[in-house]
Amino acid sequence: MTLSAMLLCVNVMFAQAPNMSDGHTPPPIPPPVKKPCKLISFSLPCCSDKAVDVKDIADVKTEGPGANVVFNPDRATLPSLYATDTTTVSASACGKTLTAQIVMVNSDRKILAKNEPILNKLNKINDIANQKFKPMLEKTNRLLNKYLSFIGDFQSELKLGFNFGGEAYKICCPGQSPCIKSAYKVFGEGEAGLLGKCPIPVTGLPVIGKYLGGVDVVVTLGFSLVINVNAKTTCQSMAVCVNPEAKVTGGGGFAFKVAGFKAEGQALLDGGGVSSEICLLPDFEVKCVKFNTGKIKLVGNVSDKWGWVTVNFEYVVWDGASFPIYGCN
Amino acid sequence: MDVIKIMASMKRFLLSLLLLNAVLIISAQSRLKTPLPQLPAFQPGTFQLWIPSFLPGVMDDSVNAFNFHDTLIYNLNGQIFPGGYLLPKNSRGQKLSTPWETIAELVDAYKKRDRQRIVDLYNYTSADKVAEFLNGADANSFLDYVSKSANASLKIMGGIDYGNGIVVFVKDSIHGVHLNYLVKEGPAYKLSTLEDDKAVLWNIMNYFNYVPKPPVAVKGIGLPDSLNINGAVDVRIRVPEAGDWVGIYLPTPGESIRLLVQDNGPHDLDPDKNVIEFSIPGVIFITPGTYTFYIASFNYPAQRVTKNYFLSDAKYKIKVYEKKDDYDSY
Repeated sequence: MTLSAMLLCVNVMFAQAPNMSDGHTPPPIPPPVKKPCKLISFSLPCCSDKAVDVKDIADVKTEGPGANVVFNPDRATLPSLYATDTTTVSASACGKTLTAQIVMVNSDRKILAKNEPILNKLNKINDIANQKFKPMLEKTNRLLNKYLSFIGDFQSELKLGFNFGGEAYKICCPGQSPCIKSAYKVFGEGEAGLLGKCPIPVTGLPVIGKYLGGVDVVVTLGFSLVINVNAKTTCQSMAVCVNPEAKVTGGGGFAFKVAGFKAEGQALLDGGGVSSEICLLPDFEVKCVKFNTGKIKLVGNVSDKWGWVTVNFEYVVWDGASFPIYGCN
Repeated sequence: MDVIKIMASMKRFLLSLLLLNAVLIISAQSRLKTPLPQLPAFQPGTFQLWIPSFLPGVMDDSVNAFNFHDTLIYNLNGQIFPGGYLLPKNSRGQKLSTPWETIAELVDAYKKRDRQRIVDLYNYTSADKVAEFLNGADANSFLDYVSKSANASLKIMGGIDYGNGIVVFVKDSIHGVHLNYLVKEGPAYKLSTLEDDKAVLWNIMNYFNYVPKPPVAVKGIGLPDSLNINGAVDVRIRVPEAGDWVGIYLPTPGESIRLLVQDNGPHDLDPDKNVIEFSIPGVIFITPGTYTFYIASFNYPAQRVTKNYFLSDAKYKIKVYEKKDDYDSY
């Protein structure tokens, strides 16, 4: 008996079984139907920004036994000459071949995009930073001048310098449409601030009597925002914002001497700071700048040969002031 | 007989001349020997000195003082004269048996620029140094400086036990407060040099320099309801004492006094004593808004706002606005 005849015989037996049932024999279980091996679908993610083995990212659906899928190429690599490259991958199984494409993104390779609005902005970012900061600092300077004129004659100079640059790249944004986007990198450094000098009358020196004006200490007082940036936009945000490093400078020395009497010391800046947030992209935007001068403290000694006594001192001569330069509450 | 009579009358005449001489000599001597001025007795005892910590120049001193509500409280042993003891014009010849006598002697020696007397008032460890200085190049200008102080209504403010001796604070109306360190050498109080790095003496010096009084409300100034931040309003204020200050401040403890003007100081436009005329610039408010602020007078250059300054009848309110200009449109 051939195999097919035997199978046929079994089928006949199963087909006849219900009729043979006497209520004591359970119905037979049909054997599984063996489907033929089949490659149903094959897809890849829209993009990748790193080299990958295709098997790790491929979405393949097969049916039936023996579906050994072979990918060609089996590894997707990043383009070296271009920012993006479309790679076509084939998946073969069960005698069938399907293809899918993936865009490989070299996000370290800058692109030379012409007429890109944001890149055009980045090319002008130093001019824009100057235009934003200059009037702001000039206004602060006027404010400080007027405010401090009742203490002393404040003379100051603006500190403005920017050396930013920008580049464009492509990035892979899975799940977004389109999945390939332009990204922008801003790098470089800049400084915006002002530095002035102001004579502050020294109060609290009991050896010079009650009237002010006997001893002045010329203090420098200023602040600057130092912006160091090396950041890129992301799939989620087109903004590049930084909290610049804030520098507050101040201090100076003083000496008052007549024969047999000497008061000398240093004015030190105690505390002080600048709160700030600055965005360079998508537009150059100064969100908040607030300058707190800090306290001016005098440290020194008084030597009075009236009684040959030398006394050291350290005390606050000015408690400082806070200047909301722009945008802060 | 006549000769005897003549001899006797000559003897009486000579005796009367002698007697007259004696009377003249005694009266001349009594005129030369005016009694020494009576200086106050030295009666040290324990007392507390309360020094406002917001007084200009006052140093932090948690080591030696008890800090209570913006006040440093020192427990001291010594003697102070609340208004100061004004030294008499001529005080030479003191016995140096009290610190006040030594100071009176020093002041007199300074007035008369008497180098040797100054040196003699110092103890044996300091005298050589003082003598060297008083015979050096700076001696004349130094004596000019101290004789001015000595002649300028010099007052003894008090003295406290300090180290192995006593520190006496004196104050003149030109140069402020001077320190003197005295140690006992035998029965006499002698001056000695001192180098000090603690806050106690400095803070007491500042206290005596100003002898602070509570602020006085400046009432009823006709201020406008609003003020341009770039503008100013003129005011004229009478202060209790010549040389007083007027301060303008916001009700924010710890903040700097926004504006401080001294009677006859650089910003006082009125030359009269006790009257200060000045402009209140809008910029002291820094940003536009409606502000409550205070105006008060002080007998010291108030520097930092403290709750003690919030006097209800010194309170004012003003709206500060800003006229936009080209620079504001960034």
